[in-house]
This record gives sequence, C-alpha cells and structure tokens, in this order.
Amino acid sequence: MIQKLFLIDFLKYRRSRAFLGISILYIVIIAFPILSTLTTGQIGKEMLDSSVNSPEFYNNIWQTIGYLFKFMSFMLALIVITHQTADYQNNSFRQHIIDGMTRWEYYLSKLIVLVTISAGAALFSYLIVSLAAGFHGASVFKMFASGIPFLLGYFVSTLGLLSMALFAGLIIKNTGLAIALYLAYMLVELVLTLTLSANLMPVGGFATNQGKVLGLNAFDIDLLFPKGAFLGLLPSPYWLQRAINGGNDISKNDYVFRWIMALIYLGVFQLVNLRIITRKEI
Amino acid sequence: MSNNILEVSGLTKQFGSLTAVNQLDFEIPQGAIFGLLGPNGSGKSTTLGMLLGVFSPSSGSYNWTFQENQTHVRRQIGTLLEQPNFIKNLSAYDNLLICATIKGVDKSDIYRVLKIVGLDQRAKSKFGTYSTGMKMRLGIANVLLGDPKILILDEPTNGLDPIGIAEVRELILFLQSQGKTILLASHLLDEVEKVCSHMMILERGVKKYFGSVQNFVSGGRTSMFYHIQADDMIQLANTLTNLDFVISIHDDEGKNVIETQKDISASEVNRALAEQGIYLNHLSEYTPSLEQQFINLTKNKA
Repeated sequence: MIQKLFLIDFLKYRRSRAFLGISILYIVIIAFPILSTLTTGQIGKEMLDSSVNSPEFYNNIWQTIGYLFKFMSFMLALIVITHQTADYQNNSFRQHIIDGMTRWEYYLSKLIVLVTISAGAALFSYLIVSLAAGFHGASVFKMFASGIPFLLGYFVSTLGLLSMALFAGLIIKNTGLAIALYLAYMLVELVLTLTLSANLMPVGGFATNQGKVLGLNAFDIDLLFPKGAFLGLLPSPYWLQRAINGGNDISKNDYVFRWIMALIYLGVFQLVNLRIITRKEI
Repeated sequence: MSNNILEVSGLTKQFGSLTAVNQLDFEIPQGAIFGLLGPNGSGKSTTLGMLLGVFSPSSGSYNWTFQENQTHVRRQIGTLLEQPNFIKNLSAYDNLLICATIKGVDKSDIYRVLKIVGLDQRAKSKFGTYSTGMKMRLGIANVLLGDPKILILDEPTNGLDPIGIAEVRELILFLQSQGKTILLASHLLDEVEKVCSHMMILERGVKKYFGSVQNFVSGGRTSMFYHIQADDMIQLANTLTNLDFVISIHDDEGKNVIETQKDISASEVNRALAEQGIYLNHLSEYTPSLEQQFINLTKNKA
C-alpha cells in the first residue's frame, strides 16, 4: 500500500513546476554557497584544515551544517503548501476519495511525502558535507558515523516544519494565503519568544545566558513553541559556545528535553492533520 | 438476497441551519438506469456526495449491498461527480494512471477506456489543453476504468455538443445492455426520459417522487391535460378560470393548455364550455413530457 500511495504523489510531483523550481533554488541558492564556504572560505579553512579527522572536526562540521541547513526547511515547506493547496484547487482530494481512496490512506500519502522530502533533505545535507569533507581528505565513513545524531535531528526538524506547512495547506485552500499564514506564524513566534525571554531574564542575562524560566534557560524559551522546538534540535554553534562560556553545562538532559519537545509537537501536528483530513467536507 | 445494489434509509445532511437533504429513503434495483432529478440546489449532488464519502451524513445510513466491505466499495463504482477533477499539468494518461492506482486497476486498461471515449490519440496531451467536451470524455473514461458494475454519472452531458450528447446516450444504453447499473443525475429531463427506467425527484432536499419513469409520465398522473382553442381566446381564458375542475392554464405556442382533475374527460370539458356559450375549434388530449410533468410537480407542491 505504501508503494501505491508513494506512486500517486510521485506522479503529481514529477511534473510540478513548483517542485522543480523550488528544488533548483534549494540547491543553487543555499547548498552551493555552503559547499563553497566549506571548501574554500574562512569557515572551511578553520574547520576543515586545522584538525581533519579529529573528533572536534566532525562535531564542528555537523553543528555548522546542521544549523545552516535547518533554515532551508522553510523552502521545502513552500513545496508542501503549494502541493496541498493544488490538491484543493484541482479537486484531487475529492476525486481521490470518490475513486476509492480512504481518508486514512490520503493522510498516509501526505505523511509519506513529508517523510520522503525530509529524508531527501537529510541525505542531501550528508552529500554536501561528505563532498566538502572529502575535499579536505576526511574519512567519509567517520563523517557518516559522527553525523547520525545531526542527520536525525535535521530529519525530525524538517519533518516537523513540513507538518506545520501541511497544516497551513490543509486549513487554507488559497496558496498565497497559506504561505503567508505559515511565514506570518514563524515571525509571530519569533517576536513572541524574543519578547518573553527579554522580559523574563534578569538584566544582563541575555549576554551571559543566565536566568531560569520553568527550569529552562530563559534564552531557550522558544523550545516551548512549535517552530522553536523543531529548530531547537539543531542548536546554533554560537549558542553552544556562549553556553559554555557562560559556565552552563550542556548536559544530555538538555538534548533529551529538546527531543521530547520536538517529538511532542510532531505528534500534535500529525494528529491535527489526520483529524482535519478525516473530518473535512470536501 | 436483495435485488437492490443500494439501499438508503433516512439519509439527511445539514449544513448549519440548512437541511440540504431530508430523510431520504430509496433503493436502486440491480441493472436499472436510475435517474436522479431536481432543480438546482435540490440536493442531488449532496446526496451523491454522501453516497461517495465526500460528505458525511448528519443522520441516516446507506448500504451498497453488492459488497460486504464498505471501506473500499467506491473502488468498484465508476463515478463522475459534477465535473471531471483532474490535474491540469498532467497528461490524460498520467491522470488516469493516478485513478487506476487508487482503484487497483491494471494500467493496461487505460488505453482501452481512452479508446472508448475517442481520446487515445491525445493520451499524452495535458489535461489543461483539453476542450470542455474532451474533459468530460476523460471523466467518462475514468468512470469506465476497471469495468465497474455500477456507474454514477452526474450531469455527464455538460459541455458536450449534440453529437457528443447522443454518443453519451448510446454509451449509457450500451453499458446497461452489458448489465451495468447506472445512477444518472441530470437537468436534461429529455435525456432521463430516453434512457432511465427508474427515477427519484428531489426538491429542496425532499423526495417528491420515486418509482418508474413510465409510471410517472403516464400511470402516475394525478391530472389530465388538454390542448384547447376557440375563436375568442381571451373569452376562453376568462371562462376557463371560472371552471371548478380546471387546475391550471398555460400557453403553449398559441394554444391554451389546461390541466384538469384526473376524472374529467374531453367531452365534459367541451360540454362545460358550450354551456358557457363557448364553442371550441380544437380540443385534444395530450400526454405531457417528463419535463412538463416535472415542472408541474415541483411548481404545484412548492
């Protein structure tokens, strides 16, 4: 059944100009500069040339790549929104149900798309990193082994952001409005979390990363919101460095909390999307 | 075992305070061409939508009796609901491949159905480049995929030219001769009269008639119709309005058509008018078409 559901959406995507256009943009606008920076730029020199094949080398490269790549997920979200709204505009959702697809199967077909795109993005990030690292003589096997936590984080982070995109495409039929809602929410959450953390932290806390809210560093209050929870799986190298400078221990518990929050929101969005699909009058 | 392929009981659909379909009970016999008639907004498409899983009923139930497992029953029903819903930037073949995959039909069947509707030469053209008539043909091709036993056609002649309409009519009759059961929703009452054996008339979501077409047009009549003409048509019209047995009067290309109570014969009409000093130069009984009967039914009971 999974193969059948995959084929149905594959047929829709392979002729899609939106899919083709955004995929090319994804590669050209973001991946090439990253590759170029890693192989020839300053970051690349510092990271790759200094200590090739040392544990720090792999850690640094995955943290940097993971952090940079997670913002590319927003471009992939546009593909998901565009295709979901197209399903409404072409009445494909309605026609699939009429032709005998169950609503559960329709939900599964969408989940398969999200998983495929997220896995593809993780694979692509691995390819880029391997190319860059291979260019500097690093071991591709060690590259992969050391990158598994980051690849998993990137996969779940992308899956979460795409699930939010599917939600936007399910509740709004107009493509432009759905994209606007998605991006507007991201902006609102950013402003909200910045405002909250600024108000909750003691004076000077932002610089030193001090001040606790609900057991969290006030700087990490964004983990309580969906976008922040998904992006929080791949914390910025800047954050990690500052946390260490501020004397805070980055414990395993901190990562566990990040994973729990991301998985909770992933589950919530999957359940909400399933409910919309099974209840919607089409 | 029941001879019906569909049994519907108390089917109701409410959208907020609007009751789009109200307490429908009906059955479709196996092998019938069943017409679903009604003016715009009468609840035809909502009824079909509920039978096809597009809308969930507010109350009531339905049962496709030819298969126990109702989950995948729609895969064995060929459906064209309102308009063909295909993806514009995909070819006819790719669109049908998606439909065939959902229905579990082998892709080798795609060219068979494209040939039946005369689109096999345009199989690789994008759906968006098709004319309205070609889009409708592709919708019919999808209906035929997998050679289903039951076909649901909602306004299948929309956008077709007269030749296309005649071809669809022939196709429907051919499919019935192959033992298919067909549910046909249409505004074109002439089409329904020509091809349907049974029908149901809906108005504002309520069943107004259910039974055979023949019975509706002839035996089921509740009144008589006469063409009537006199030298002074104005005096004739004024006199007719005062006769107790006359239910309605309307003009039909210069002749008056009167609807009378069922038991009034032509000689009684003639005698009543003669008693009023009106002598007719034309009086003949006529059988109204399904269309006229339909208009009378929906007008009188509205």
